[in-house]
Amino acid sequence: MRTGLQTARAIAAGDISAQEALADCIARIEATDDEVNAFTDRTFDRADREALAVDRRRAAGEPLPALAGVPYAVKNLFDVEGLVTRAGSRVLLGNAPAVADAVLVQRLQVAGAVLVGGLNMDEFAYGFTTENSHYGPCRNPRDLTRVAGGSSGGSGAAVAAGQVPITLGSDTNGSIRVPSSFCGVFGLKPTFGRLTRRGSFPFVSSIDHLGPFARSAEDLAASYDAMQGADPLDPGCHATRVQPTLGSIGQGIAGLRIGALGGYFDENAGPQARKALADVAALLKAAPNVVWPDAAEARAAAFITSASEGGALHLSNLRVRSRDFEPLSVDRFISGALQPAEWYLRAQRFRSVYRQKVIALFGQWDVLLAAATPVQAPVVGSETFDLNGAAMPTRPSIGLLTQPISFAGCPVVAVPCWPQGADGLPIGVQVITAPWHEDLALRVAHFLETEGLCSAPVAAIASLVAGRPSQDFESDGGFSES
Amino acid sequence: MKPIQDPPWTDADTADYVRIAARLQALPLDEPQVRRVALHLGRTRAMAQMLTRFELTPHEEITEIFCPAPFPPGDDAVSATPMADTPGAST
Repeated sequence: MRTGLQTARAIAAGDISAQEALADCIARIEATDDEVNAFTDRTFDRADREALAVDRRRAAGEPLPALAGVPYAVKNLFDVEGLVTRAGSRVLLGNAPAVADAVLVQRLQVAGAVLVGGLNMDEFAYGFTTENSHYGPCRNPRDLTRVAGGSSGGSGAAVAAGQVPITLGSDTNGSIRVPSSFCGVFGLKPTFGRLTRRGSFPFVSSIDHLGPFARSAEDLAASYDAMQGADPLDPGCHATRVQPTLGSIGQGIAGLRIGALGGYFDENAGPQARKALADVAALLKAAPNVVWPDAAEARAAAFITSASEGGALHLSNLRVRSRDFEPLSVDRFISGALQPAEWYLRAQRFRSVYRQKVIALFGQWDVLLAAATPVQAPVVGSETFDLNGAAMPTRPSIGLLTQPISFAGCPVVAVPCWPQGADGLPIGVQVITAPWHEDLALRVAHFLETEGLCSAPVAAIASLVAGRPSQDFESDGGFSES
Repeated sequence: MKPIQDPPWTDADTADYVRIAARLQALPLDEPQVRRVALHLGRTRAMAQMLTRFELTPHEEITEIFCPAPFPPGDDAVSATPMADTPGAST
């Protein structure tokens, strides 16, 4: 099954049409989504128009943009013109449809990509499992009894299931990296403030990031590059120019100072997470046991900030219709709304100090590594998971390893690893770099991929036998030739 | 600096806080929900205590709209979307 860039190149070369690529994609969605439940909205009519436009441009001999004809889908907190922006909720269903696409969707359209639909998520992005009571859980294509992760579960699952080669998600405390880890795909959480968030429903304005999922590091880079650019209308968008990454992705790792995080990041990693990190660290010849500053405090501050901002954002609806909220997260929102202001202010003051320490750390290192999740994907409905002998509450604890990093705003590529081999479950490793250095993280991810350690094969949903993980497969051509 | 002494605090105190704070915020909660919310708040309180023990001077201000590091200076006139027939081309 082609990656996004393979699709774009095949269309540009005339091997397939954009409409044929779209037909393959739709067939795959229709064959698999009853089981995976990644999609909440299907924009097939729009996709038809966009694919036809690409084919007409090619027929007219026009040069095609980088992602021409590449099908993609977006977490349903992105505005899509004509759709109500659900953000995983029931509460927002009464709103008017969006009058315009989110800015990142507009930019992908300019790049020629074809929007196929909206994707399942944890309500209002407050979760790590996409066990959504309104729309049903999103299931992990690697093992349908397990969660896809969250809150961008549909985004991770749709890529893992081979439904679309590229999706968009959001990441506040881990919501791109966790689904990437659980579903065995690549995910990019860019630097905080890199990509405009205009036209997406917020969770925690202080920490929300938007970014892509894909089955290859090149696809991450290509989609990320297409979405970059200044946005003076988004006060949270600090990037004033584009810094392309695809052209340098093959430059390898020579000369990079690479370290593997220990301490907190080792203590909160289970055996498979540690093995995955060890495998990556060995290939990259990373120095061991690098200490990340104040990780536990940063996680606490991220937790408090998220609870306060999230709770405050939804307080008016919580007052009058809390029964319409997701039962798994409504009490956490209420708790956040009741937190003393001093907790939140202290967390924000801590962040100023923390930022300087992290910047200083990256004076000594170019790349740092840590597992993305403490454990592999839990079974749907799990209330606890075992972490080195301790029973941890599942939903608040999955982000133990991601929260300190996103609170610092550092860019991260989550790379999929298979510590138990191809028949086992995946688990991700975070490739972390200094702010504004997504290029280095993508270079490392691409190196790991080309060396064969990290891969994102399409899950064969149809071959699942109850209670056993899917057998994964990789094919070179399209899912169906036409 | 003297270590901060946490005052005695019980789960019942957290539930009392939730009841009163919810009323202040016009949040109608029944008793089972008070207990569930209190459980979450108690967990967060433990995290807040971690930050209370972290030394901050009065001069550490709350962070502005967060920027992880200054955006590097450079040429602003760069396009990010190469043409499909030159894959990987940087611009």
